[in-house]
Formats: sequence, C-alpha cells, structure tokens
Amino acid sequence: MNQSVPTSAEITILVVDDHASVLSGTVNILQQQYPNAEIFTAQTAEDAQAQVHQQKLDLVVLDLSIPEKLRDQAQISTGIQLLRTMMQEHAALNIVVQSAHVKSLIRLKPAINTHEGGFTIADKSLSMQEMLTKVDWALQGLMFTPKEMRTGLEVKPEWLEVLNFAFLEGLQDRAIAESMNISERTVRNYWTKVQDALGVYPEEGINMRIQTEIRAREEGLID
Amino acid sequence: MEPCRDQFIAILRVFSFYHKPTQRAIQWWFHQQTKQTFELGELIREGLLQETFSLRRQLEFLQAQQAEESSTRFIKQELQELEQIYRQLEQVADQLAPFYLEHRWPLAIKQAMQRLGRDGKGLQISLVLPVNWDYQPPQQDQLFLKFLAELLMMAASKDPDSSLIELKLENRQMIKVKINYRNLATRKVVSDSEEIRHLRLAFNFLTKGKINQQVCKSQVIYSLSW
Repeated sequence: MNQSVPTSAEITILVVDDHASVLSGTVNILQQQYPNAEIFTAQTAEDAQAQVHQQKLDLVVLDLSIPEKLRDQAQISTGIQLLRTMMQEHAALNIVVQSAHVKSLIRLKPAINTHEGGFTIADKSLSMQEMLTKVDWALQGLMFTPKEMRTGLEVKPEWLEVLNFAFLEGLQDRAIAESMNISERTVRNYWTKVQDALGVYPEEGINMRIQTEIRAREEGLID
Repeated sequence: MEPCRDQFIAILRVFSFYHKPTQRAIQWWFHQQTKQTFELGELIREGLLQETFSLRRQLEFLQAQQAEESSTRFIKQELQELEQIYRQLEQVADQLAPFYLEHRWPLAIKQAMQRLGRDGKGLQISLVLPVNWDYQPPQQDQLFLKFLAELLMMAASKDPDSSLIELKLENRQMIKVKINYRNLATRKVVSDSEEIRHLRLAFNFLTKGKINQQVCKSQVIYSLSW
C-alpha cells in the first residue's frame, strides 16, 4: 500500500525554473507543505546539474524550458537534455516535471519508462493542491504521465509478466522478483509503470493492487 | 460534371508544369508563415503562460494565508478566472504550435481532432492510430494538419449530425478518412462541392500531395497522400 510522505519529513528538494517569480511561488508552496524541507533553487541547467551532484536530493522539481547558462536563451531542448542526464546518472532520483511544455516529454518516453525513481508530470495548469499531490506521488516513487501523451494502452512485456505472476499465480513481489530474476525494487518499479499505463493512482480508501487487477482485466491484459 | 472537372485538373497540371517557380515561391511563403505561427505559439508558452502561472501561485499562496471568508471567496473567484485564461492561452498556443508534430505524428492528429470536437464543430470522429511511432523529422506536417482539419469541417458542414467519420492513419504518408452520410443527397452536396474541389487542388499545389475521393452511395472515402 502506498502512503503519503509525512509533511514533517526532513527532505531535500531542488527547484529548477528560469522565471524568478515562478521559482519563488513554487518554493513558497513547497515550504508551506513541508516546513522541515531544505529547498535549493537553480535557474540554469548548468547550476541544476552541479547541485544534483553536490546535494543528496530527495526530489527535483524541474521546468523544461530553461537556459544552459545565465544570459543564454531558455530552450526546451536544454531542459530535456538535463532531464535525460539526470535520469541516466541518478536512476533512483525522484523527479517532478513542472512545465508548460510537458507534452515535449514524449521524446523521453523510453527513458521515463526505465527510470527507477518516482516520476510525475505536473502541467503548469494544475492547481497548487494538484501539484502538491504530484510531488507526494513522486516522493513515494510513483509514476504519473498525462493520458494525452498516449494513443492507446502502452504496456511493456515485463510489466505484463508482473501482472500475470501476481494475479494469475498469486505471487508476492519477492517471489515475482525471483521468478523474473530481477530485484524486488525493480518489481515495485514495474508496478508503478503498469499502474500509470492503466490510470491507477493513489486515492483514499482505494487498494491500488486490487484496482490494478480490475483495470488490467477490463483492458484484457489478464484473463 | 465529371469530364468537366477532369479537364479543369488537366489544365491546372499544365499550368503547374509551366509555373513551377511560382509554385515553389508560394510553397516557400507558406512554409515561412507556418514557421512564424509556430514561433508565436512558443512565445505564448514562454511569456503569457508563465506569467499567468506565477500569478496563480501567488494568489493560491495568499488564499492559504487568509482567514477572512470574504477574502478567500474573492481569491477563489479570481483563481477560477485565471484558470480559464490559462486554458484558453494554452489552447491557442497548442493550435499555433502543435506539440507532438515533431515527435509523435499520431498524437498531433489526435490533438487536432480533439480540438475540432471541443470547438463545438459537431464532429463525431473515430480514430485508428498506431500506439508506437518512430521518430521521423517533420516536413510539411503542420500544413497537412490544417488541410485535414479543413476537410473534416467541410465534410460535416452540410449536415453535422448525420456524418460519422472514421479516420485511419495508414502510414506516415497516407491517411484515410471515411465519412458515412445519412443519405445520398447530403453526400452529393459535400463531395460535389466547389470547396472540396478547391481544397483538393490547393493540397496538390502546396504539398505536392494528393487527395483521392472515392464515392459509394452515401459514403465517401478521402485518401490523403503526400
């Protein structure tokens, strides 16, 4: 069962955005939600990358349209490249992409699908509360990508295997990991991917595994 | 009617042959216009959308600090209006600079079709699009999307309630649009219309592509290839 990260948690967050007003607005809200959090900021890709290396971060909140260096022009490709590098070098890092350009992430879909940390997308049209939910999900290690980034159900064979082992053979994560010859952590990671594909997210009073089974049967992924 | 149309097309082909430089110049001009439109969309995303977002966060932060009910009610109202503005700006930006154009052609089509439905054009469109799509460099895709949207609007303009549209992306170079009308008369009004003829010729002239029209009773199939 997934549980929200306590607001009293002593977490370390990096917020990346080139607009000073957006940066301060986001920091204020995060600080209000997590009073014990240590929050760093960066306005360029260069600075963000340096801080990701220096700090032991629990979460990065990243805008995609950012400049490489100060006085450079903000470009989506710069944010996309930074994100790609971060995911390659810090596979377990939790990331929230907060941007008005979230649809551009389609070109990173394969990398997002293999990322091991939490990964959520918060379009800048979201309300503060919705954005904080995406932050919480990323801190829990979950994945969320908007529906409009797909033309249909996109499920990888290894995610299907997890569903089959769990719901047809009744195996628990550890046994699934042994059967698939992968780590238990990877199994948990596959759960978040398939749940995102099926549109199953944390909700009060809802058991996510049962909900996943129902949705998987509805979609014909398991008999 | 048909021989007359064939004659017209033949004349246009002869015209095009002898006016290649003019055709190229017009194609170039359209390309420039499309580029400018795209940049305008990006400008909205980078400027107005960011400003609206920042304003919204400030108001939300203020709302969380306010204890007075009248103040929070006022802020809530302002937030709703701001959200509306954000959505509208986002739609304009998406229309001017479709996001998926460079990366996922099927998603670009899906987005454009959703927009047609959302704008209250009365279109019922069923889409058959591939899930996986390899990256390919964009060429005249934005211009092509405009033609596709125009064709669908024309197809439904005479009788929006009765037309059921099936759109299938065959491959990167071909889309089939199948339209079933309630009766033969409506189908004829649309498929024989001057607008459709103009559209087919303009498509050919500007994209070097072709729109084939196949009619069978109350059904018409348009194959757009380029």
